[in-house]
Amino acid sequence: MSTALRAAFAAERVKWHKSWVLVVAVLAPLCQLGFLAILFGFSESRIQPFRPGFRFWLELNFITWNLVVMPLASALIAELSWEQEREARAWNRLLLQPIPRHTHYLVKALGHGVLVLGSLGIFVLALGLLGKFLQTRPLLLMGSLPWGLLLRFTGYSALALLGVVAFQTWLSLRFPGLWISLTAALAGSWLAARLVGLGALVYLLPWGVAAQMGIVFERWRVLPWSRVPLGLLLAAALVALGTLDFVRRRDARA
Amino acid sequence: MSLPTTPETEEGACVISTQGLTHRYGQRVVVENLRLLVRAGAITGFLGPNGAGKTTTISLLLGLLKASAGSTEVLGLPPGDPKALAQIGALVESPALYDHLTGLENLEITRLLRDLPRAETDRVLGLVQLVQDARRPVREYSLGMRQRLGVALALMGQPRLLILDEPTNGLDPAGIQDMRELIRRLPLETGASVFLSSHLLAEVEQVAQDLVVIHRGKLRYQGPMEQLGAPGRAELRVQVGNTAQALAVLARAGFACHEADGRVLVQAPLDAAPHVAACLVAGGCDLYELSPHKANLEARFLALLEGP
Repeated sequence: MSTALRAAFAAERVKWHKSWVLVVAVLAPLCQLGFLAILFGFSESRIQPFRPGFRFWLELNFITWNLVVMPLASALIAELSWEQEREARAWNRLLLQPIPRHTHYLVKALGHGVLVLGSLGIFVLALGLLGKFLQTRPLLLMGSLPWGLLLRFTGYSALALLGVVAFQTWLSLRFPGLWISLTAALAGSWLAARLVGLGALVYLLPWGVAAQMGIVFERWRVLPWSRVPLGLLLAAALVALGTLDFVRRRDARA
Repeated sequence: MSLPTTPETEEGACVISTQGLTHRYGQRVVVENLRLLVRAGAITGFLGPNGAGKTTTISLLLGLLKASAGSTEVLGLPPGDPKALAQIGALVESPALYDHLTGLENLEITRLLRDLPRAETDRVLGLVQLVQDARRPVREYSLGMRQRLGVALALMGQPRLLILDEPTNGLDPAGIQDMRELIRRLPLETGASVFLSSHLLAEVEQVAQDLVVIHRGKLRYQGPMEQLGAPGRAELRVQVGNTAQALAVLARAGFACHEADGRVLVQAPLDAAPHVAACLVAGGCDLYELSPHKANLEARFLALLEGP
């Protein structure tokens, strides 16, 4: 990491103190898990047919995370993070620092990525802990924690979120507004989920890789790891486009 | 109406130099063909009424805006060059602050971005007298405290060039006095050049040695403060015991002077004041007061703003 990028990222982290972006990153996974744990806890008889329970617990949570919560959390984090700068009219200050212009955008994208990855980390940790707690309910037939599956799902989800974060970072810069951001996240994820299994078109969407998590219910299919590089390429292209857009539109920010 | 003067400053000794600097918003020309030469080590007042194009000019100098035409060099580098920005401290319009963070955290962001030692935040907090409130959230700050924090941000890293856009906005009289003292001290203590924008002549004239006046985006005057709008016709006001005697003494010494309202007005720049005083004392005059003729300065400033 270059010196400028490291310095700018350290400064970016200071802005997270006592901010809503941090609240969203922490609460988003906990809200999802809390909600699903309550559903599990109160619906033991309905859960039983999906044995072994722990596998179903992971599948249901990772599907919800990748198709709903992660896109929404990414949208919220990106929007709130840019809003911090707009509210402080911070470009009059940040662009006067001896940091190349493109670094400011790269740091934003990196920061959003780190926050959503951190959110995923909390999600996985709490997922395991709550799963252990659910093991105490005999009717749920939780069984043992399938570590291999947990690692695969975690790795896949980490790679899947990059495209979504890259898109939401650019969208919130170009078209500010919480509702624009959230609507795009939900609509994009829904469209991607509809396109799963209908060819390669889905991978042209930032939500394409994440939407593939929907197929894990069909347990005879495996996650399309071979398509992940395409998703990463799309994420890199979106970051590059966003950076270019940010650098070129200097008058609008000033 | 006075026309822009040709600056006497050598371009080599300038911290800011522009040639034909022009900026348009759509069809509207906001800054037109500006030729600025701001000398190093001085406090230069950048004066003009609201809407004259001061903030736009500053934004162009800092690379926040891209010029429609013309060339600009700040510290010998193009506007916005990171090497130049590392040596510039600036406050543009009102301070850009993160309200959810403390004053200290706001400074910390700039410290990290500029790769400065930790002691730098304490130094600037002391300079603007915000040490006591440094750990309070900025949302609780008064307008004056916000302004002081903005100046502290601009002072981080002991910049060679300080560009301050209306720095006394929102300050109470005591705060204005402190700010004035701080600005006055900077070139002496750090060797920094100060480019101070304001719409108030009274604010600028107390600290600046040089003056740039713009109106409707065009340069109206550039040069030493006391020669504003009338090169070579700056005036000193003298109060003496015997006006007729003083007029005779000064005339013998080669000064053009006349009497007005019981005082003698001497046509001479501020740096001739010691010589004027010496002549009067040597000529046996009782000298009670010797000062720049401010009323005249203001009248000349207002005259610059008349016309298209």
